[in-house]
Amino acid sequence: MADAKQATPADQDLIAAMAAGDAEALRTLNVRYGRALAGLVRRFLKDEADIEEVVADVLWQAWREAKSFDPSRGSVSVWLVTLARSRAIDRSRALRVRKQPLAEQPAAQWALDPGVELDQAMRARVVRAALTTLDASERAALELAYFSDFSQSEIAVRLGIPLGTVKTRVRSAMMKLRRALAGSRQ
Amino acid sequence: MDHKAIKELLPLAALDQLEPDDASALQGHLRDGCEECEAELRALRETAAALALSLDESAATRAADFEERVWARLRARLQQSAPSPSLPGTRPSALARRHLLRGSVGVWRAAAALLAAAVVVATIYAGQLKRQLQRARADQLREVAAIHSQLSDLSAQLRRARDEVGALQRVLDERIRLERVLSAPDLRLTRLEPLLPAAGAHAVVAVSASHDTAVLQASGLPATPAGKAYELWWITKEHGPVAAGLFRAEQGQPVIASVAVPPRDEHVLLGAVTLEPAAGVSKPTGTMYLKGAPGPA
Ligand SMILES: [Zn+2]
Repeated sequence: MADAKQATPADQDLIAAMAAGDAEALRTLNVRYGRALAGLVRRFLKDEADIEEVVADVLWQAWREAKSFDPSRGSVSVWLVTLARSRAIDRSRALRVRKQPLAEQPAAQWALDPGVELDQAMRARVVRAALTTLDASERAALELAYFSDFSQSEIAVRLGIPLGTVKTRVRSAMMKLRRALAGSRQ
Repeated sequence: MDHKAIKELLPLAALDQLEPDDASALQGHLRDGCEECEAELRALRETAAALALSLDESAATRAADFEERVWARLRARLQQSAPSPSLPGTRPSALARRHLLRGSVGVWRAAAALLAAAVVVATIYAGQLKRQLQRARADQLREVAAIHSQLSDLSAQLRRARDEVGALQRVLDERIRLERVLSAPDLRLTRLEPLLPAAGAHAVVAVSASHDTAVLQASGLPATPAGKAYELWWITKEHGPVAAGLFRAEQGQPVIASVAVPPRDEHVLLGAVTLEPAAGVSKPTGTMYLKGAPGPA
């Protein structure tokens, strides 16, 4: 997205400082990503204390593994999001609160977070704009795929469509988003 | 699986949604060194992360002190994992204990001699005590002086802290204004891109006409030299450059500053930032650092 060029070096600098044992960098990483990660974790967990704990776990793992972070394999956001999603899923499985009926899943909101930096707010805006390019059916499949603990086959059952169709919808949703986000790059 | 079939898997792989067989086929393909698929997967993972980080629940469910609460957890872990200072042995060794016991034998035999010496010792001791008291008094006076100087240090620190709180309050006010603009329905962003003197710098001006508010966020600008200030300009079709506010930059610090909204009913062609005398000027005279056209409304 448009701000990736400016945001990435600073993120990497933070991780480098963390690798050198600078706790203040960890604190800054928390300010920068904590809330956004909580937004993701909240899709899998309900209890605020659990959510805080998972976000703290993610940042703690980043702190301990900062030395081995390899920017050539992907950005800091990808790293943190991957950690957060898998930890949130692990925790929700452990708590056995997974697989609520679909109706109880609150609809995802793609909202501006007033607490994040302007660049992050802009990214959220760009993503929201990109999401409007998806069909409702693509969006539903994408949300279930990424923001719930369902496998592709389970999503097919939930949505009452063939497995192949789920895959097609998720694939085309991702490709549309990728194009829309690439299009916002200057 | 061939390259084309693997490529189809990448969007699902970026979401960690591959079946185990497909996942290992993809891994094999990447191990074989397909750079196209690797780059595509990386880009799709960035897409997924952007999506995940833009997801947000309603503001009501979010604690205002979320960051502090997470930080409290992290701080506790940092303290736990810090190497604990090794305590020097507090228990006497077995050897030392034996020595103490032997010392107590024979105390009675020496008691009489000690008693005789006691008077002499007491006299000497009284003199020592007096000298000790005098020393203690001098020590106390020195301590009082030290405390006085610490107190004046502290009050200087307090004054500085008060100044810092004032500065933070001003930053906070700017933040609140920024947040208000960002959530305005008529938010319009002008991205300012760097010109040669400020390579690596960039700025965004967020404008809400309905709130009559504009906020600039800049980063990477060189520190403002003494006697100078950065000045924002709206360049309109009707009037050319119109001054929109002054701000200063410190090395390595992002800037958030309130600026003037563009003139109403005028067609804004560009926003720009120049370096000018500290008091500001009505038409730009200095070097231009940033420039950019307004984004879509
Ligand atoms: Zn390939």
